[in-house]
Amino acid sequence: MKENPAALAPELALVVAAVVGAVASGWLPRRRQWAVRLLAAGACVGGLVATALAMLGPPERVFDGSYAIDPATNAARVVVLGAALVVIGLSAEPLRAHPHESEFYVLLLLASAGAIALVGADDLLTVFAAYLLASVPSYGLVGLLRDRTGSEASLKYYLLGALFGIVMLAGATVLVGLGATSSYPGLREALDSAPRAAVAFGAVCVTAGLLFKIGGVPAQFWVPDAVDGASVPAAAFVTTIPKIGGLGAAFRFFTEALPAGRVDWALLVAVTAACTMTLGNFAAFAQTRVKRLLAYSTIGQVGYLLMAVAVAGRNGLAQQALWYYLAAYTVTNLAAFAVVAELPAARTLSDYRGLAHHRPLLAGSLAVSLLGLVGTPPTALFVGKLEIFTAVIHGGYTWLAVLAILNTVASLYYYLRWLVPAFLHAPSPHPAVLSSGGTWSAATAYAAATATVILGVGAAAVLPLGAGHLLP
Amino acid sequence: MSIHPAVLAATIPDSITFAIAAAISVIGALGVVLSRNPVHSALMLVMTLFGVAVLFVEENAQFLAAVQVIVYAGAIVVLFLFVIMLLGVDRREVTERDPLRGQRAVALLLGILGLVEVILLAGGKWPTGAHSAAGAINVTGRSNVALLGDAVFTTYLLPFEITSALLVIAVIGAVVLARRPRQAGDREQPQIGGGDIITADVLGPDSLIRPEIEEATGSSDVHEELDKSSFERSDP
Amino acid sequence: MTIHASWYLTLGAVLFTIGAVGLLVRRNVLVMFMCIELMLNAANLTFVTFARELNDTGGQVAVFFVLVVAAAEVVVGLGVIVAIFRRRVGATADDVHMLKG
Repeated sequence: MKENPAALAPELALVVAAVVGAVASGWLPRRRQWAVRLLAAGACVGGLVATALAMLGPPERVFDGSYAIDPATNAARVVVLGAALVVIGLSAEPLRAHPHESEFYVLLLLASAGAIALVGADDLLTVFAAYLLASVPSYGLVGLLRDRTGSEASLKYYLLGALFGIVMLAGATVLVGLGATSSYPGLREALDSAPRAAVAFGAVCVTAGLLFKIGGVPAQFWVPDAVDGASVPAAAFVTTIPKIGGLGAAFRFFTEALPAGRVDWALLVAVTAACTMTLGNFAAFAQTRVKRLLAYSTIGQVGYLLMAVAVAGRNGLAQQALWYYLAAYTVTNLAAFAVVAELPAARTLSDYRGLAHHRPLLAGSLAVSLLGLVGTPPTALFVGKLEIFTAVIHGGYTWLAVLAILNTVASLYYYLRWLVPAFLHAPSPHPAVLSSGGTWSAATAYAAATATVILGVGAAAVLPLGAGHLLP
Repeated sequence: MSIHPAVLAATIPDSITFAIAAAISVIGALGVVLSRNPVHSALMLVMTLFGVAVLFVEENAQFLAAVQVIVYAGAIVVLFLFVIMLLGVDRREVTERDPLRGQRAVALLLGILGLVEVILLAGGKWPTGAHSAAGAINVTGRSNVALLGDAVFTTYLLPFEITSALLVIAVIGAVVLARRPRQAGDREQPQIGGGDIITADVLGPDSLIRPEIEEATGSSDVHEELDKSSFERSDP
Repeated sequence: MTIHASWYLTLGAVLFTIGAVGLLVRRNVLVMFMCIELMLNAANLTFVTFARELNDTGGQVAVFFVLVVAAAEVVVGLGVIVAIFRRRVGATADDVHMLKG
């Protein structure tokens, strides 16, 4: 049972569909590329079914121990595949009959497979390979529309990604040299007696690479530019799916690869989390373009998520809080991006004037998603924040929880700067800015906003899915 | 700086090989950074790659040395040179501004990290002859290639499969990013240098792309395929 | 008797640092890519050295992967550069300035 491909069915579904889609894209006429979209959605649904089956089975390590299939991997599969489905839904109209429409879905599938592999990887080399599998398609997705801003965003994203990839590789080199193995359980055992400074150096370098995926300080520079320069579907993708992979990988790396008490990584992550949320929230204050505002808002959200990583391993709460918050953040953030995709002509906050007058349902979805990002009950992120704050206080980082609460209150300001014109101001004299992008993006916005509320109300049923021990 | 006793203990041919290869690598690396002309940088990169390949042979990694020369020097650097020639970018550069925000800070951090690494690696006590996870290197009667192949297809099968997916991405990514846009008006400035040749009608003669015919004839399959299989898929 | 590992490791670290500093001082995106390749090579040298020291094929396999990965990454990176700079005169990072804020 060492090499059991069936255990990787969800990942294989994505990769096989991607290869089939890539081949088909060479033959399909431009206006029939919806077939690839259908194929991609089918692969995601198939992957979800396979994940549900895998959840019933026992956790196991496959491929000579380099890949763990445990509750965390299964949670990542559900969240990533769900997110990919939503992204496919909101990209139906913006990309319809685009020359590279099928390639978009192919790259999306491969990047999703990479994000899942990041979480499941139980070996430094596999983590590095998965890091690239998640990164390289993202550069293509960001540059896909190929206008000036898209290409520039792609170049910046690429340069930083290549840089942090090397840093991560250098860290992996040092850890492999110290531990004489690249597998996490072996490292944990061997690093216990290794020189402290060298272990710290290696761990910091590997963390830096993962922080790039997550978009946390000090690797957050790419986020606003990539989101602003990319198309809306690509922006929705880079702000959610790679972050899921990076956070899951960081959680596993800290709890399984590093020996407890050898290096105080928890404090390092806590400080990173504090810087990330504060920087994201304060930079968001001054933004007037909706995509940039959402970009900085995701940096702020990542700060809250890193708090759960900081207390990883201290109590059982952290893991379930992380996965619940990730699921909630993903669906809420994608709901906001779906609204942006539905109004392709509205670029700035003031363009949303009078949205409630023209499109009451859409304005409602926007309100649910933005207030959801703040953490208003009964949305999912309210429960998520409660869970994370509880885990952090139990883990002994009360100052971090206080800072996070202050940040949450402050973040209300910039979300309201968007909502107030949409609800209270008179409609704009140019109704064309609020013209509809199409039925699919509108439907996605309504569905995702509804899911935010359902996930919040049904939290008691969903929360335990993210819990359960990681494989040792 | 006095010569490390370990070097004296090594055989003289080994020491000389190491010294020359190391010198070539470092000079090449400095050349990459210091050359004004990117073409020279690329050639200096080849020098470093050869130096490192020699060191690979010294360290009993013959297969990797061959791959290093064939793939790196043979393919990647040629790709670099090709892009340099294609774009005609061997021009002066301005260094005052910092266009990628925070990039200098990051690079400074990297420099410090590198120095820390020098100290750590030179002074660290590394385990030697430890329990090996993927099989020993020095097995009499088995070649380097056979041992490497064994490890790739057993212990490291999963990362190997992931890298194969990466190659698919590379192909698709290159197609998505580097295909020429159709509209001539897309260009902002007239080309100079080698760029002119490639953006002229050589790659995508407009006669091959007939969107108006497609619209007129109700998009028959023949025309759609022509539309698709020519170098550009036209925008409506 | 062969050269002591610490010499190889030091050489690797020196190459890594040169590459990192190259990223600091150079503005030509292509040269920046080459500096990234330098750093990759430094990591490769370190991996091969550890493989010899630990008598473990794992280090050499890692280099094998890094080579493949470098090829894939460079292809996509050069694709991005071609997409941006085909329409323009130079390929310095200073020309990348539309996204600010």
